[in-house]
Amino acid sequence: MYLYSNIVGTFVFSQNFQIREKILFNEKQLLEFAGKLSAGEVIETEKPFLEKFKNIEDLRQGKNQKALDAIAKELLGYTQKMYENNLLVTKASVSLSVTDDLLIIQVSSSVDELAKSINLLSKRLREWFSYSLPEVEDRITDHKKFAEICLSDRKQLVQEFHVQHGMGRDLQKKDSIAIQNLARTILELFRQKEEAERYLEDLMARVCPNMTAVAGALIGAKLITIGGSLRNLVVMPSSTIQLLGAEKALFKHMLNKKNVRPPKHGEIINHPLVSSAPREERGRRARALADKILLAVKVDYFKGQFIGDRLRKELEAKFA
Amino acid sequence: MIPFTKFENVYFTKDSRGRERFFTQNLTPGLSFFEEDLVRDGGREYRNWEPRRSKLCAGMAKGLSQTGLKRGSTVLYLGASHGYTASFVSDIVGREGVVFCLDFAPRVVRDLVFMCEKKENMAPILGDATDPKSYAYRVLPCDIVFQDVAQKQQAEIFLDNCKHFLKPGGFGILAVKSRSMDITIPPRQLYAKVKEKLEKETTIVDFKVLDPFEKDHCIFVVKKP
Repeated sequence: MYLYSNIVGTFVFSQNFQIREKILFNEKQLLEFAGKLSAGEVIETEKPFLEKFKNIEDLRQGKNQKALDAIAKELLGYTQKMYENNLLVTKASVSLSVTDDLLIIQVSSSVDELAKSINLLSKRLREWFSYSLPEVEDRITDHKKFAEICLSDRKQLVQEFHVQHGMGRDLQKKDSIAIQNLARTILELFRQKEEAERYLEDLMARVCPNMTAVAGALIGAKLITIGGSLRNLVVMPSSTIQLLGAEKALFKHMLNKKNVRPPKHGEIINHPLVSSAPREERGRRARALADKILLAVKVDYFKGQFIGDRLRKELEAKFA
Repeated sequence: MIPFTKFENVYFTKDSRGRERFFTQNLTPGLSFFEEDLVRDGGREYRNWEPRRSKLCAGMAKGLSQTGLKRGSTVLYLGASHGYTASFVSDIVGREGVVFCLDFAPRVVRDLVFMCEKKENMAPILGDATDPKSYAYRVLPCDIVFQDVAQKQQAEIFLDNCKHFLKPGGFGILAVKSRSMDITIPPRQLYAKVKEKLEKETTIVDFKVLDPFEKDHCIFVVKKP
């Protein structure tokens, strides 16, 4: 006698590999048993057979390849059911794969893209508005402030910036409205970006409090983005975390073109501890920081107690 | 539309300049999943299969002698991704066959599921090819194991899966991406290493380098004794 369970149900085969008994899973059983079947554990529907028949061999152990090949022909009759159940289980596991760190990745990328868009549109605004008052463009470097100024009255601006013998042309109302529309769009994007950043900080504090304490919300989110997921970070060595974001430099070094020296830090260069350090200190600090970040990530992933503050203090004490 | 003699259910056309295009008969007439051309000929509909997007098709274009894929085959496809190649494999095996499509990235499996809902001989699996035991309960013993994963241990993963799921006498097809195994040694040397590993447990039927369709890739066809 042979016992075999797959995604379709539990089967009992006779000595000459004919199906003797079977229990086909319903939807609820299927989703309940999928995890156990995957881990190779005994499931509820198998227990009665294991008790009822002596000398029954569980083929899921995978020790009897010949018997497995022999029952394949019988199982072919359930291909349609196999298709349907695989579809169900896969849908359920894709749904389960949506975790908070994926949200972090989307927000973090969204903040980056908003910043890029703002830059792009601001450049256009500066060129455009400068036909009207080039003297302002020259003096205001901040994009947000510039967009705000574009909305104010031209006469006022002329006074405010003490423009004499200006190079701009007093545009018609219709023409300046088009410019102001673009300026409003840019200001709206600024507002959205700030809101997204606040949300990202909240999300990071909730999902990875330890990492946020050590690395900061923005750098932490960036590391998760480059790593792909929180889980990916957990299984990385700290030296990989140290270099996340410096892949190009690393591979250049590994291919050893022109004897390129290895990079010492990736994304974590933006951390004040590293960026404020003198050049020759940076490698050492990046290494120590990556080490603590990895510890923090592990605690976050496995939902341990909050030790972020302690880790940060240790770091600060080391390089004080 | 001319059928290949060595590849069952795969067709090709040749234009006046001698350029070849590859096709399979569409199992779901009217539906094209990757914006590929649908061509009608003799009352049947065919889907255009591009060797630049599919390593299996590239292997055929480079002149593989056989793949073992037939109508009615049971196929385990590891590294199905969005399912481009897998959809053509599904056309080849037809309604009597089945393709188990495995990938471990939820994002691409999401796309795959939408396709599998329309192609009823493709079963999607979200799983990790390095751990065959975890999805053993979801597949049948297979006539063909096809693998195209960008992993360092590609050869080992392939042999492990062949051991678990391939029937004796079944074919294994392995697309090797040399750049994800080791970027520091030249691809040719790496292929030789892979060949050595495969030879220990299987018989090598054919081997083709996929240049110019895919840079630094090759394809092996092996047979399980």
